[in-house]
Amino acid sequence: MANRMNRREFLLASALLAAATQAPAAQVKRGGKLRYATDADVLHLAPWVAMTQSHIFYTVYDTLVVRDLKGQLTPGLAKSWKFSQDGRSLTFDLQVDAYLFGFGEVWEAPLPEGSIGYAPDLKGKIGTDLNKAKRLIAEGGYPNGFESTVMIGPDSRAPGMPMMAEILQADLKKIGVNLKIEQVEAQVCSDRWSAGKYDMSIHSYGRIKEPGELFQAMVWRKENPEQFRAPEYGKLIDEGMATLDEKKKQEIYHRLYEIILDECFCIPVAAVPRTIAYRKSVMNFDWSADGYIRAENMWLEKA
Amino acid sequence: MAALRRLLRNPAGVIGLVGLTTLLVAALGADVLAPFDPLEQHARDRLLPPGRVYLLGTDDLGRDLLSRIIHGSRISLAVGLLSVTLGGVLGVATGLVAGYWGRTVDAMIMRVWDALLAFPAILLGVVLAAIMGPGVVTAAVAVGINNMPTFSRLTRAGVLSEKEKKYALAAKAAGVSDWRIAFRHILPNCVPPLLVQLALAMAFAALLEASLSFLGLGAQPPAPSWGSMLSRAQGYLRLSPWFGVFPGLALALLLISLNFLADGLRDVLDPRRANLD
Repeated sequence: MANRMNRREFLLASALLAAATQAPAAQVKRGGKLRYATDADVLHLAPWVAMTQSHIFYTVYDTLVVRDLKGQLTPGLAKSWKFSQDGRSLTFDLQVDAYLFGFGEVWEAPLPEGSIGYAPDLKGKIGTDLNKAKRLIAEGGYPNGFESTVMIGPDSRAPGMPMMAEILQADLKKIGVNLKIEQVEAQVCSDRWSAGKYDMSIHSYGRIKEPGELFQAMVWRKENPEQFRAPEYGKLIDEGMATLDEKKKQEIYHRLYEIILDECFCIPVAAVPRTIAYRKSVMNFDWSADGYIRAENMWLEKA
Repeated sequence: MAALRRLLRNPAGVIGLVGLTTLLVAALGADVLAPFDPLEQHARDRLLPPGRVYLLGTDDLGRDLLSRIIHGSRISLAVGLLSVTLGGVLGVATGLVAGYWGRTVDAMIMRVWDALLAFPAILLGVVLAAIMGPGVVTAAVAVGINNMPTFSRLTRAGVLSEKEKKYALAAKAAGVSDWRIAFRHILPNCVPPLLVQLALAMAFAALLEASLSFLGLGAQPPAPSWGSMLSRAQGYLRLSPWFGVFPGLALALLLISLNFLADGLRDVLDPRRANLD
């Protein structure tokens, strides 16, 4: 005799089914943590290394097209696509106009993310508060703002500096600082900067692997262009560069980072992210956050 | 008034007046006419083409081009007026003295102007920028100095002609002082060609100011000088041609208007042409 569902079970199952099908479409919520369980080891999350784990990649990466529940291709990053007549090439029309690779992001750190000197917990410590800025300027004895000059070198030596100076000029005007831009010849700029004969100056730095060297380059050169003196700062740089313990290094550089944010003798304005394109056959591509390509662990995999 | 009426019947004069008046209205009413603050940057709206919000597009810092062009007319016209005033006053004064008193004074003044004329105007601007620092005043002084020889020689030529006329000789015979003869009687009769030169000098002044700003020696950022806008637009001519085209058109409008006005004034104030009318 076949099993038959009794009335009570039937009603319970029906209620559950009704509840499941009547559940309102969940509202999309952003944020949170996704935990993906899989029965096989995840060898690598880089899609060009481990293509077989596509079920993970669809969760992690945006793709050009997306398969819907019926297996049909729908727009993803590409809004449309076209096969060539011979079927051997596919042309995608992208949704986005440009990939920014970090350009345009708010920047307030002396070192980039990825450097061991970067402190994510200090991100946003200063933030943007124009009223607070005006209040601090007034407390500093300039209730009506003040005038200053920013010295820059020629465009040929540091492309983009005049434009950055104008952006800075417009930003500082909002808090009552009238900034005049003084563009001088390269040697004059270098001499005056070394001698500390300027109100403000814009300069760039980078391509240095060791954060301690970078912190030192900003202040503790013989000329000390920023005219900033703090025994603790110098001592921490020496300690940081001397220690091999990465955790201790990070602690020391964290403190240096704090000093820079507190003392503001140097104000980080922007970072220029480096974007490198390379062929699929280049394996284990790696580069340091301070701009050096680390070729020692790379190899070429020919198809 | 008669001269003005004749100018309004002169096609070149009318075109010049209309163009110049348009720019004058723009300059005087810039605060009202400009849709945006010319210095306000909109980072997300960089290099936009002409559209509904930004009628002439935006520049590389997201600033509205129309607002900057309107406000830029102030700089061009101000430098033009300032330089012409400086050059005109000193040039006319020295030309009057050289022409009336002649001899050694004439020789000395004219040799100084000859030496000054040997300097290219741009070079003079560069030298003054090195001494005084770059800026609108430096540009105005450079252009003014450059204008002096022309006004001086023009005045001198007029004075040489007028001082031999009967009214001048009669005034001298009557015991009128030389200064009074020169300033009260002779100078007013030298004005017509000077007015024409004034319009031409303003056109040249606007062009020179734009050139100096183009080189970074005139109006300093963020001032919306047409010349500095053209300089910035160089790097975007293929990507965003409107960035360079519209300031260029504004400058061209000013130069054409002033040249047409000069032509009109010349036709109106030339006594031979006036008689034909």
